[in-house]
Amino acid sequence: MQPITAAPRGALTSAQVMQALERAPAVSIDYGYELLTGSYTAPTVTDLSNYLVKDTAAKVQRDNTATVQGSCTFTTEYAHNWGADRIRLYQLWYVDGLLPGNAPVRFDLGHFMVTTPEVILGQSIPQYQVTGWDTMYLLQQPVGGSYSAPAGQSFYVAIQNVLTASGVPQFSFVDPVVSTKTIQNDMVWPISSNATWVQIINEMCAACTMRPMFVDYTNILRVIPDVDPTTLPSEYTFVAGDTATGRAKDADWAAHTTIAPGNRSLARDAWNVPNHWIFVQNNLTFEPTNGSGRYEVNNVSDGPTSQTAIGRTITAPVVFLDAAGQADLASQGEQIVRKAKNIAEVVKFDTGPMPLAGHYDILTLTDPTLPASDDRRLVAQQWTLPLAGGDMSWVCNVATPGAWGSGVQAPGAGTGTSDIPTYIPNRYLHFT
Amino acid sequence: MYIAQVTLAKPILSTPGNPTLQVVPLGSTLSAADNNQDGEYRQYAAGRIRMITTPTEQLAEQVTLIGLTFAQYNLVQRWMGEIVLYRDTQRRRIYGGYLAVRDERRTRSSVGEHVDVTVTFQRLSYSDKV
Repeated sequence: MQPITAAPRGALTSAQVMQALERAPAVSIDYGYELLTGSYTAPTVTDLSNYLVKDTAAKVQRDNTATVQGSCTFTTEYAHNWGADRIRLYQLWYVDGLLPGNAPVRFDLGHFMVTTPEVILGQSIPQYQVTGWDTMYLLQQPVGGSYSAPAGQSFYVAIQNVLTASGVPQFSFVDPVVSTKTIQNDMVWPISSNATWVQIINEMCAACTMRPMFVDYTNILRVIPDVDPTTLPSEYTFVAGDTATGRAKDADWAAHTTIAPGNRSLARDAWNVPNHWIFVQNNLTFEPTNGSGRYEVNNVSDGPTSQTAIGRTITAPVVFLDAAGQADLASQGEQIVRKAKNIAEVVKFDTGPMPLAGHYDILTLTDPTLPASDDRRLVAQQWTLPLAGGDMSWVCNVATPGAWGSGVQAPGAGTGTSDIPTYIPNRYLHFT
Repeated sequence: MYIAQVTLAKPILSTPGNPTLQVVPLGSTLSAADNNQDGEYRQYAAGRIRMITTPTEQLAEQVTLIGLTFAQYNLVQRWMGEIVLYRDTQRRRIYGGYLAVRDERRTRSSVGEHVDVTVTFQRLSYSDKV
């Protein structure tokens, strides 16, 4: 999630922001947008909110599993330089008596390239229904040739080189964490692969156990280590009913809950969940064997999808990985096994607007109607935030799926008053 | 510095673009006003109800212009869908628009045959600063 009191809320306290987000009995929510020109890091800002045509269809949405994760939809009367203009959307929350002069609490909702206008014909003043994409869009261009990164080069340098070669000069790589890993074998994308810049970056990220690159709400490119989400603290707890976790978060939870009473669902998918995996390192000059370019995993007895529990072996398709050695091959393989061995649980629910939503947020849902346990640790996959203040919708994976009776991950500790979203900067490597 | 407050003897309907072109009825009545705030009462778990609004207010006022000549009536019809300025003897000053005109033809001994026109002004955000 967004850091709660970072700019543009730097002068506020966490309590003030949370008062607006979840506690105030009445709020007034407005939204606007700005044209950003020039530098990516210190742009010239021109507010174009007067051109907005306010409607309930305007929204920001995010699909964390997509290559270009963030997108927006709104209607404007401003004739943009389509495909080139970069805009920033924001929400303003007014709460009586919260701030001097009834000043609003502002939430920036990301930078977007306005690419796809649909003009409504037959009107005296043209209106453009706009779809915009976050600036990962800029890296989604084909390379237009072959590309390679040599063995021995650090991933830090390799990813930086891709960013430079992409021609998006504002981005630079500032966190050298991935420099500790080097490319094991030449990585080559022939012209016939028609690879895009982001595809190359994301394949490099995968090869050094990072998640695909994304851009955050301040327009900084980031990559996250692909670590077990259950080891990360919960950033926010949604309370859907009277549970011990809900009471621990907020004794007066019933007066402050923001989760919608309906539209909550929990789905399980147990179709052919594998319990046997084979991983092979790419670009070997010898035949791989277990322990030398080949890594094999059998889930014999762990959980409801194990070979013992199911009574048969279900082999996953062989996975070829650009690994930086046997240890890295095993590490990447274990990451895949960890995700794939569980029966997938997907939770969908609606909540009041939560403009702090970010990338792969770690959430807790506490709900007495959940089977087996009141709590689920969630990893947000998708969310949609209506700009005009409507309830938002979430689609989340359960980080550690409960086996309908066991194995549910304990939720993050509540603060006792308000489970203020926790910003975890070390989750990110960032490009700025 | 002196600020004069002008009280009109009769209501005036005009357009900001051409304020000298006016409709001056014999009188007018403000018969109804609807003031709506966009928003809703949102229901959450445990029966919590929260009011979430947007800053947009919609103010609609129904005005009857009494005793228009047919020429004035035609003008009122022509201004349908345009921004107009309504001022009345109560010092109300409304920039707004209307999308429908309801007329009633009458004959009064003092003015002969004339038209009473009812329009519903939707108040619009308008700045007359220069």
